Amino acid sequence: MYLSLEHYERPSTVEECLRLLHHPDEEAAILAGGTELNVRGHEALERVVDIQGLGIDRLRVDRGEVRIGAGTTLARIAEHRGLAEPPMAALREAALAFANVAIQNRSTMGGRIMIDRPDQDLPPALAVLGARLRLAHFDRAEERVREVEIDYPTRDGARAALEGALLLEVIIPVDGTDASALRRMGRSAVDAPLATVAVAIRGDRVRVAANMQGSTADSLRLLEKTEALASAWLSRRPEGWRDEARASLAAELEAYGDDWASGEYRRDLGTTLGVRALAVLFGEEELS
Amino acid sequence: MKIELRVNDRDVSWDCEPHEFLTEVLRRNGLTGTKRGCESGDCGACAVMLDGREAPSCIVLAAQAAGHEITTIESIGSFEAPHAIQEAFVDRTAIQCGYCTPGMVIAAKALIDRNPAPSEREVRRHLAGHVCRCTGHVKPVAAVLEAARGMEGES
Ligand SMILES: Cc1cc2nc3c(=O)[nH]c(=O)nc-3n(C[C@H](O)[C@H](O)[C@H](O)COP(=O)(O)OP(=O)(O)OC[C@H]3O[C@@H](n4cnc5c(N)ncnc54)[C@H](O)[C@@H]3O)c2cc1C
Ligand code: FES
Ligand code: FES
Repeated sequence: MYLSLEHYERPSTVEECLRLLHHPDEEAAILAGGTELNVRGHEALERVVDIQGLGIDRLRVDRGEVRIGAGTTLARIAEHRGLAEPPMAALREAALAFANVAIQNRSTMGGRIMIDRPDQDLPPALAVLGARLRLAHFDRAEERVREVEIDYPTRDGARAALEGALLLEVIIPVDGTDASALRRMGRSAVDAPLATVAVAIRGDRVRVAANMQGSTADSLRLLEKTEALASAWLSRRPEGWRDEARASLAAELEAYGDDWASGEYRRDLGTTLGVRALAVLFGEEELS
Repeated sequence: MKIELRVNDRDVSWDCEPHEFLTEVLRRNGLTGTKRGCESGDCGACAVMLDGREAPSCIVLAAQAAGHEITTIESIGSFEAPHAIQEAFVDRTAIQCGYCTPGMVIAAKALIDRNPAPSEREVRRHLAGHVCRCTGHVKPVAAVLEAARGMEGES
């Protein structure tokens, strides 16, 4: 819902897009699929700059990398054959699990990354897969566009790099990733997740990340102690590894807040999902 | 502003405001089969096909649809000659008040066009974003599966 929207623009170049966004006397925003912006809208927003004409909606898998244009929809990511292999399973699962089919058809990778919400499956998947982001900024002093590449923000404060930027592309290395998996649980098939855990084997390390619904702690967590344990299990897994993993996950996923479900419930859910995701990596459970 | 798009196989040029959503502009131009429901992307009542894929017209700005192809329920069968999906909804009594039905038929059409032999799981996934206040999903799911079976080999 918009109260003040007067201009809709559809630029065809990144430079034009960024110039329109940095108009000094107007409040403007990037519009991708619109499944967040058009719903939440903004009372004061006067201009939306639609990025569908920029040609940043391509998905390529080549030379050991997956390159996903920010305008690529989650439906296209879920359907892409090049992402059907085990290394990209966590990404595919994150795209497929989200909301309903009509929303998946409209929501873009860029829109998903740029909004910072704890009820998302994508951040843990991108974190364990070692994603990088290509961003464009408008440099006012020099009157030109600058492009930068950054690691997917996983640390406190790292999201500041996204401010004012146009996300162009997500780059995910495939070489060196043997497999990945994601487990999530929401209250219904189309609901936001209460907890999501993604895992990946990259080189000789297992990566583990979780996103937990709730508002009082950092949402995306990298579970380093569980990572160390699981990495050691790549060469030899003790019989009781599930119990050890459960204890480690429970210690790292503190319980907080009572949004949507109690903190303890979400922590226990995250713990179970984490064990099950690791079981997929170790070949003890089916991928989907 | 003026927008040019293709609606139900016809090129059209329509007036709209930058803040107007596609549901409103379709309805203003006589295509009232597209329903208003939650207006937040949650219920599926306003579903149309945008370039062959199901889209929630209540959260797509009309201006975003310019240059694209829209299919509404009006082009999927008629009262005299219903589409196989619509017939299956009637045969299976998958309708009570009918408010959710255009959206469900659009979802089913978009699914079957891409996947002529969907599994029950796939049908459920595609109807999951469609809320029916009267009945539920059991009969619509059965209707879509029946329609897909009946249409096999058609396209
Ligand atoms: C029914 C329903 C269920 C939903 N469920 C969830 C959920 O479970 N979890 C969740 O997190 N979200 C959810 N959403 C919100 C939304 O669908 C997603 O976050 C979506 O991925 C946003 O993508 P979009 O392309 O539609 O972005 P838009 O709505 O177009 O934009 C979202 C934000 O990102 C900015 N933006 C978009 N693209 C770029 C870019 N390339 N560079 C810089 N900035 C950009 C926009 O300015 C805006 O601020 C839901 C929405 C609906 C309608
Ligand atoms: S009215 Fe559009 S999804 Fe409910
Ligand atoms: S039949 Fe009445 S809402 Fe579905």
